[in-house]
Amino acid sequence: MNSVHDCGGDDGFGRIIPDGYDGTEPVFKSEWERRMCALFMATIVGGLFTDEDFRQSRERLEPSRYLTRSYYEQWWFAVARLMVEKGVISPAEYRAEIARMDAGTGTGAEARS
Amino acid sequence: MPGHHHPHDHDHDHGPDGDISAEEMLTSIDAVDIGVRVKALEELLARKGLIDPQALDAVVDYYEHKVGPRNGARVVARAWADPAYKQRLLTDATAAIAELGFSGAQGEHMVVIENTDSVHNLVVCTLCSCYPWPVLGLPPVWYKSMPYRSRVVRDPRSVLEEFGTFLPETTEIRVWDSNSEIRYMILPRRPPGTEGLSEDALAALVTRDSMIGVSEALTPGGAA
Repeated sequence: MNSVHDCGGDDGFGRIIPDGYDGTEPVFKSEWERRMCALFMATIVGGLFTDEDFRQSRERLEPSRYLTRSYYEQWWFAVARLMVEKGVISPAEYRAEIARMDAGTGTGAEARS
Repeated sequence: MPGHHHPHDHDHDHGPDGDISAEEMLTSIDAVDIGVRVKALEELLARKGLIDPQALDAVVDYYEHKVGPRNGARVVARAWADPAYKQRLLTDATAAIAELGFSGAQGEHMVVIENTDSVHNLVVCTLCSCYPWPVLGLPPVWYKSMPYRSRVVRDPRSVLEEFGTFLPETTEIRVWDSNSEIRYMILPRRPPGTEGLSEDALAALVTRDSMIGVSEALTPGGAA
């Protein structure tokens, strides 16, 4: 697919590493990134989609989002889209799940019996 | 939709059940906190029995704490210490790496490239973030970023200099673009003054960044 992800040779993206870079950094910057990475591994190993499905889904992210959303948020877009398009979940049930969590403390604990 | 009588009055694309499309769903919840979006997806899939949250924890722990660049450093140290192993590594990297017990997803087809006094190599994935997980773990943020992916294939020398790596003008620089099949790892030059060091001591000089190729291995008791 021809889009902004195919960036090899493009100019103007600026510096690569922050000042004071010492060659180390945590693998995840926050807990949700850790959960998203795990969710990806579990769903792809579970056969819900293939490597190619995932790559293509991520590349379909519209350019303005691709350029501004963090790496693991791009993963969320890719996996959530695949789950709907493959009929694993419906938009209605996913939105209901989010609404349940928003209504609670954000943990979703109240929605589980 | 003028002139078109539809059972309901939505102005969006419909999924199979009259639900909204995936694209519309993504947009409709785009403003929700990303932590909630991820958690809700996890809960939903767990309730359907498609994933096991306990197993999720174990998987992440494995990649966060048990797999990482220390694996690659052991491979490099062995290659520095054992010429026969180095030959096997450069000939069939996947098999040679498996000799040390490292294999698995995102490392099924490994190629190891040797840095020499005349040729310096580095690795990128311009299209996404392909990276050899079994030997290097999960990639650093900068490796996945647009600035690295875009610039390293056009102006690798400036990238090396940003990482503090200054090579002679005469050194040829080669950039290897990973893909979903082939994953590259660089065998850095063995630093001077390391004769007689144990493999453990050698491995301690091998940084993650030196196996991506943006820097060189450390020198004993000194700066890189």
